[in-house]
Amino acid sequence: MRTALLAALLAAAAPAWGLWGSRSETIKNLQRQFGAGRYEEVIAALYPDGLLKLRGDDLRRGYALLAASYEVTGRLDKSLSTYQVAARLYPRDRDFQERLAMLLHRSGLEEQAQPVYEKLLRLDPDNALGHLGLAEIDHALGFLDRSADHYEKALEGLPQRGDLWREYGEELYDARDYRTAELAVRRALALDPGDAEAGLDLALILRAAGRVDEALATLEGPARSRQAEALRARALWLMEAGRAAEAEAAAKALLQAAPGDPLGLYVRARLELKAGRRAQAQSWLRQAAAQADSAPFTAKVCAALAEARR
Amino acid sequence: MKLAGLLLASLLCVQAAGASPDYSPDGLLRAHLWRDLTSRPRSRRPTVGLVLSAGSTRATTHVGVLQVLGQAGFPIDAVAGTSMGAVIGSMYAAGRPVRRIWEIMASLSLGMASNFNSVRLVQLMLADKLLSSENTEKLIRAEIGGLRFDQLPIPFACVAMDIRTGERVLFREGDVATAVRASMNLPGVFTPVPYRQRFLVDGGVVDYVPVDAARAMGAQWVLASTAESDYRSAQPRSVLEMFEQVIDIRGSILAREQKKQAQFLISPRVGDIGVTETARAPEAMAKGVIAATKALRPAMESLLLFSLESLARDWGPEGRR
Repeated sequence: MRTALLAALLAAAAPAWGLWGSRSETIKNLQRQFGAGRYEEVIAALYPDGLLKLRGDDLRRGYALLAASYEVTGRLDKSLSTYQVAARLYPRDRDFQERLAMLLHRSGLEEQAQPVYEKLLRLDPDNALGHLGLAEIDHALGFLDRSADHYEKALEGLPQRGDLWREYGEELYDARDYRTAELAVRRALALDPGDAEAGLDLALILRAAGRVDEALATLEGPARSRQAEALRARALWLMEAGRAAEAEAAAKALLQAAPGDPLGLYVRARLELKAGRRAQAQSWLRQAAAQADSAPFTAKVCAALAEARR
Repeated sequence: MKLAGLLLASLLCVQAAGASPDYSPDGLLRAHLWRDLTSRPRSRRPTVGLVLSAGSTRATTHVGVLQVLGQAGFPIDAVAGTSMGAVIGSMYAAGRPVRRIWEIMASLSLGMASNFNSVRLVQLMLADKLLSSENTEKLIRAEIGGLRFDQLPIPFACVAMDIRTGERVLFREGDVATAVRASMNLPGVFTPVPYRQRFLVDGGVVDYVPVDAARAMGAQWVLASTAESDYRSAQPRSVLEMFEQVIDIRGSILAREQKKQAQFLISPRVGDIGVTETARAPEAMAKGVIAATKALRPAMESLLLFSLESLARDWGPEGRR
């Protein structure tokens, strides 16, 4: 899927590759082949002997075409090693540093990606993608203050990217800065009203801030298209708020939409416990406890409750 | 090449990599139970103890662990520490912000905890003249003043050893700064600290991971942050490192049993950091952040499962929730 998408994007942009300002016919031909999706021919022409015949800026472009061709055809290890060589040969080339950092990052090699992003930012302190890369890595590793700083700088360069505002909001949610998180996610929704994930995030942030009614209303609005998640949150939060009848209706709706949903079963069990109907609660708990494969924590909680209530 | 940059930017639109909130049944239930647990007074949930091991420079990693636990709103009702764990734990228990403790540890030097310098080292080697750890006491006093144990906002305990009897000495009363100095007082390098007819040296010799000290303060669920040495691959290059190596080996052996008594362990990968490598304290703290972040969800789940019985008491017809 990712390769197909990458190829489509590259192909769509192909006519403009001439803008690179190539000076040699060899490179111009390779760029045309790349633009036409003939990646194997580009690779065959460049590796291993073709590159040796190139000089100066043509060599730099040769590496770029080779690495991109490897990437489009799914050979990420070869693409990565080509970018690594190119980044060493051309240490001041921002594009090579940027691409190398992003490939390392997307491959889950965050510790290796981090110094490359840092190098990129030394070359280009305002590089939005460099800041974004570090923001995501810092967020994943737990450096929340640093991550927020990088998100802010990335958003200065990419202010129309709704998904980045959402990510920034999620980072602020983890840092328990709910006020700013809400602003960021609302900005994401303003840029992309159909972003159901941002809708869910907003509901979650409002719930964490103790604004239960607004959170529930958000589940009915921007988050509605993520049905299972929205129904789960609704049933659980209504139960937390002590609105038993509504919680029961929501749990039933959830179990109708997603039969056997362990959280729906948990909510039903809790409502039975609250009503003093222990036998019925046991039945729901046992059903939820049997779902250790899909929801191991919920299953453990329900098993422990069932055991304690025997 | 600019075009390639734009192309890559458009690719990023498709592939966001930030950590997303967890809307799965487990994620929502975890958040729900966590809200319930952390909104309760201490009397209606298990008492949570935090244990910070010995480990000199390596043990600065505890600051990173504290930072992550604080961000997650982890309840901490009691803190126990040994040696560097006592230094960090005492400041935390006194209410010093983690950010401040991080600043202090980021500028860690051998002289911060002792009167160590090259002349003193020569005196130590040639004339058996031990160094003084009084700077540790000064550091703690500068941060928390003359607080006694019973004045700390979070109950705290630390451990030292009586060099005359080999007894483990558990500090839970009296002057905090003196106790912490005794707890971080490497035998053979620093002069023993005289205290109530005792001569006290580093607690790492007898209680490297003081889980029992946390239990003595009533902790029911204990999270231990450990900073043991990879002593099998270490090559001590000085008197100081040799002594530390001995303590580390003994500490590791002693820690095995103590670690089994903790409900949850966080063990950042700092084993290669030597006692004299104080410039690596920021690295140790960063590794603490990374290790604690990775361990956070399992740690929360462990505490929640442990707390379930007390939480569920409020879920019946007569309950408050």
